[in-house]
Order: sequence, then C-alpha cells, then structure tokens
Amino acid sequence: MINRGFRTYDIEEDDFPITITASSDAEELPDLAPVSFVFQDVNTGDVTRRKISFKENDNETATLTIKPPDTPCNIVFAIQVRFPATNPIDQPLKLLFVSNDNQRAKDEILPEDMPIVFANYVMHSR
Amino acid sequence: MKSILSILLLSSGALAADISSFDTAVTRIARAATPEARNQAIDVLLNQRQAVVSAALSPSLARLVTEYRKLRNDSQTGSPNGSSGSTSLVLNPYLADIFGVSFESGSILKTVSGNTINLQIKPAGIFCTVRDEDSARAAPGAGCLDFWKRVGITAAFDKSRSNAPSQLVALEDDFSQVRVHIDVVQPGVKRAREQVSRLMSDQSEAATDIAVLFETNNALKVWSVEARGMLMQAASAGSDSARKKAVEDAWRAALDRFVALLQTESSLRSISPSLATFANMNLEANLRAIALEHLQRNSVALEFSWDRPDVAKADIANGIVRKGERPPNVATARVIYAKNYEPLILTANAEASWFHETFPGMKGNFRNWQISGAATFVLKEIPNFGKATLSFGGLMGDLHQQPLGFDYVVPLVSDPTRTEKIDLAGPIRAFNTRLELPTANKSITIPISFTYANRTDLQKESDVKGSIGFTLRFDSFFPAKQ
Repeated sequence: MINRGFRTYDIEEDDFPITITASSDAEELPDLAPVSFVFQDVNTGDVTRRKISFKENDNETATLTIKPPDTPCNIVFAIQVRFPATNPIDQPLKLLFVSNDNQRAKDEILPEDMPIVFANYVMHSR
Repeated sequence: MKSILSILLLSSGALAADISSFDTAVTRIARAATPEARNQAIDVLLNQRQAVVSAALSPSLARLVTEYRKLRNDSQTGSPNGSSGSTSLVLNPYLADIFGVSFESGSILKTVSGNTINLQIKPAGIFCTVRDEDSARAAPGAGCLDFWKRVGITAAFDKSRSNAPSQLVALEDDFSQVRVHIDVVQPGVKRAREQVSRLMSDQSEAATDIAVLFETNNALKVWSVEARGMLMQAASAGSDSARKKAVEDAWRAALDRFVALLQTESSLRSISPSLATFANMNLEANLRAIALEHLQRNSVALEFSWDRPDVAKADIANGIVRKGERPPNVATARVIYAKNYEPLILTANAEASWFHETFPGMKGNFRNWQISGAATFVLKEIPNFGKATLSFGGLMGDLHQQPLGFDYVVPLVSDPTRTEKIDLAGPIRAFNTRLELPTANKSITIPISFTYANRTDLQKESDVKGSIGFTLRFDSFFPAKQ
C-alpha cells in the first residue's frame, strides 16, 4: 500500500486485509457511519458494492477491515463522520491504515462547519 | 415529487453559491503559512465533494451552520437562593456527571447571611466511572445506566450561621438541605441519536457514488484542477484578511462554476436529480444532528428538596422560639428549564414550598411560591481556563404565611421588654447579577453575585447583598481511558 497523493493509495493483492483504525484525542470518539465501498474489477470494469461498519473497541477506537476482493479491484469509498458540538475544532478524527504486510498510512479528518463531514478515498490496484 | 424538488434546488442553487459551510476550510487555506500547508488545506477543501454537492444544491445551509456554531455546553454547581450562602438566584439544570462541591458565602434571599457547603453526586455516574475505570462512562448517553444517570442528589451544610446577630442561629454546623434532581430530557437523546445514525447510514451509498463521480467524470476533474488553481492564486498574496476575502471569492466562483456545470454538462445533467436527492438527505441528516445537539442542551429537570431550618441557640429573646426548638421542615418542588441559544442561555425556575407540619396559628401547610428567570451570556474563552459567564436574573414570589411557620415578633423600640408581632407574609422581588469566572477548563469556577431584593425572608426592607463562591466539578479529575 503506497500513498500516491491526498487520500489516494496504490494497493496490491498482498495488502489485504487492510485495517482502518479511527481514534481521537477529543473526549468522545465522533460517530462513524457504515462505509459503502465500490470495488471496480480492473480487468472487466464490473462494479460491486460492499457496506462495512466500524466496530467500536474498548479503548475508545473503532476499526474497519477491508477484506480482499475476489479479483484485483480499484476501490473508492467515503468515510462519514459526525463530530459532536463538544468536539474541539482542532481535534481531528485520526485514521491509521494498516495493510496485511504492515505498511502504514495516516490520515486525519478535520471538524468543519457542518456536523457531518465526508472524506473520500481512492485505492488503485497495481 | 423528487424531480420537482431537484429542479427547485437546482434553481435556487443557481442564484448564488453559499460558501458559509466552508468557512473553516477557507480560513485554513488563507492562514496557511507555507505553500505545502496551503496545498494541503486546498486538498482538504476539494476533497469535501459531498459538501460541494450539498452546497450547490441546498440553499439553506447557512442557517444550519449558524445554528450549529451557537451550540455549546453549560452547567452550574451551587446552592439554591434560600441557603445561607448562595450565589444563584436561578438554578441551572445541569449537575456534575460524577461529583461536585461548592463553597458559597453570603446569602441571596436570607436575612442572615452565612456560608454553605453544597455537595452533589450522581450515584450512577460514580458507579459507571468506577466499574469501567473511565469517567467518560458517566456522561449522558454513554451506554452505562443511562436512565439512572438522570438522577442526582445534593446535600447542603450551612456553616457559621451563628456569626450573624440573629435570634435564629444554628446550634452547630448543620445539615440544612437535601435535594433530589431528575433530568427529564434524556430519553429523547437516544432516539435522536439513533435517527441520525440511520440517516447517515442511508446516505453512505450515495456519498460513495459522489466520490466515484468526482474520480471518473472528466468535467469534474477539470473543475477540480481549475478550482485548485484559483484557490492557490487567491491564497498566495496579501494580508491575512485580504487572502481570506480572495479565497472566499475564488471558492464562490468555483462553486458557481460547479452549479453551472450541473446544468450545462450533459454527463452531469442526467444525474443531477440523484445529486439533489443526496443533497436533501445530507441536509436532513445534518438537521437531525443539530437537533440532537439541541436535545443534549435543552434541559428540563425536576427537583424535590427537603430543608431543615436553623434552630434557636438561645431561649426566646423576642418570642420566636425556645432554645433548641426548630421551626417546621420545608419541602420544595421545583421545575428547571433551560434553552441554549449560546452565547445566550435562558433559564427559568418555578417552585412551591410546603411546611411538613402545622403549628397553631399557621394557615395550613403551603408556605410560598417563586418563579424566576435568568439570561446568561457566555463570554469570550480564556485559553485553558474556559468561558466566563455573566447572568442577569429576576425573581418574583409570594410568602403565603410567616416564613418560619411561627408568628414573628420583635422588641418594641419604645419599650424593649415588650414585643410586637410582625406580619412577614407578602410578595418578594429580587434582581441578581452573577459573574462566574472559570479556571482549569471550568473544573473550578468562582461565582460572584450581587442581589437587590425588595425584602429578605425575615425582614420587609429592601437589601443589596453580595456573595462569592468556589465550585469544583470533579468529573475531569476521575480517570479516563485514552
């Protein structure tokens, strides 16, 4: 899993499963909606969808795991976060992407002017 | 119906692009100190594709943003206005989630001032904190005994009442009041949270479709590149304020261009109705999220208190009570309501009191009623201290009979060996100003209060009183899981 730009990654077969861990330094972990993934088969162009929810852990984190698709795919998804009003404006939702071969990438979703904030990600199959 | 809505939204969106929901992101770009930071801030803005669609197709976002910014938190620790020491004419409905203590000196409506220590606990909050070793579990809606966390208990102890020259003085440092406090708005919060979660889940597929659209549609790829160029140019020169204005203009122009594309570009025109549907869903989800915040900050609480009055230290000097005799206990029922329009918070209290027992000459059990209201202004935040608040409150009420239940008699000026009966029943009016200074992110506050009253409980003469307090909320002192 190689970072190729802002929220853009190159991925390979042996990167899966990819785990996304969400955490925050704020008092409360923001609400995370189930994430709808679009998988596009790089050979046929066929599109499949998968909806995966974050699972809350005991340590005020939440984890989502992307299991390997049947064929090499490009993946597009949007993470949807609801920041409560008590969330300080300078406390983002922190995301850690970890591939199966332990490659890591970090990202942050910042609170904006609306309670619900989206962050869009693209993973290109190599 | 959906297509009519889409046309309406498209039409109104075409009038002018509303950029108010991007203010934080735009400010971030304008304030970026280096080209790298600027580029990153622009990345964040341009990545908000669903917000771009919503802003382009939903004309009422500005209202949502304005409401959302006004939402803040508020709570108060301290004794009611009938205590010997109090700084609060009007009570706020929030108790500390776990444990709080206040020390207050100087009365509000009592003739004899003193010092009062007020302790407050939420038993379920303590239980959840200790069981899970996490103070966050004490918060409302945290998934631990949420029903029971609505119940709080306070106990007040009047200290050093006997310093005042009064025939009604405590024999010893004395327990004076217990209150049971019940938050009655909490049940709605859970339902509202579930609704928000469901709406967010419902729009997740459409949100990813928008992400795909921006990745695949050539017209939108070009739009992104153009918008980036405009933003970079706008953010590269001038003073902070000039840059902010230039970035706002550039982003407004970019959004206008986006709206135009939706109407003119054939590859986008066909999917505009589905984008408008998403914009509508997102608007609804954000409205629900704001309603959830309002529910968490609109408060109604009920309180029931039991007051034990002072006891006479000496035998009757003027005929009130004998040494050691205590006037009848008083029960009070109180409703507290608060609405948060932060930076303005409106609070209202209504209460009525009854004597536990009647003595000869008393006109039944009913003692008095009171209604009061306060406007609290949340002042500017002091970093690491918190936000100070300034309140203006008023109270009106009526004493149905003698405040202690007994007839009240005083020595005659002309002949101190003789006494005359004073009728203390009647109306009471008061006005109060209260400044609460925060420290330690509001874990510790210092309230200062000045009150004008047309009378006090045992004196039918107007009075101006000052009082000061020291409150501690221990919620943040308990361990929290990181």
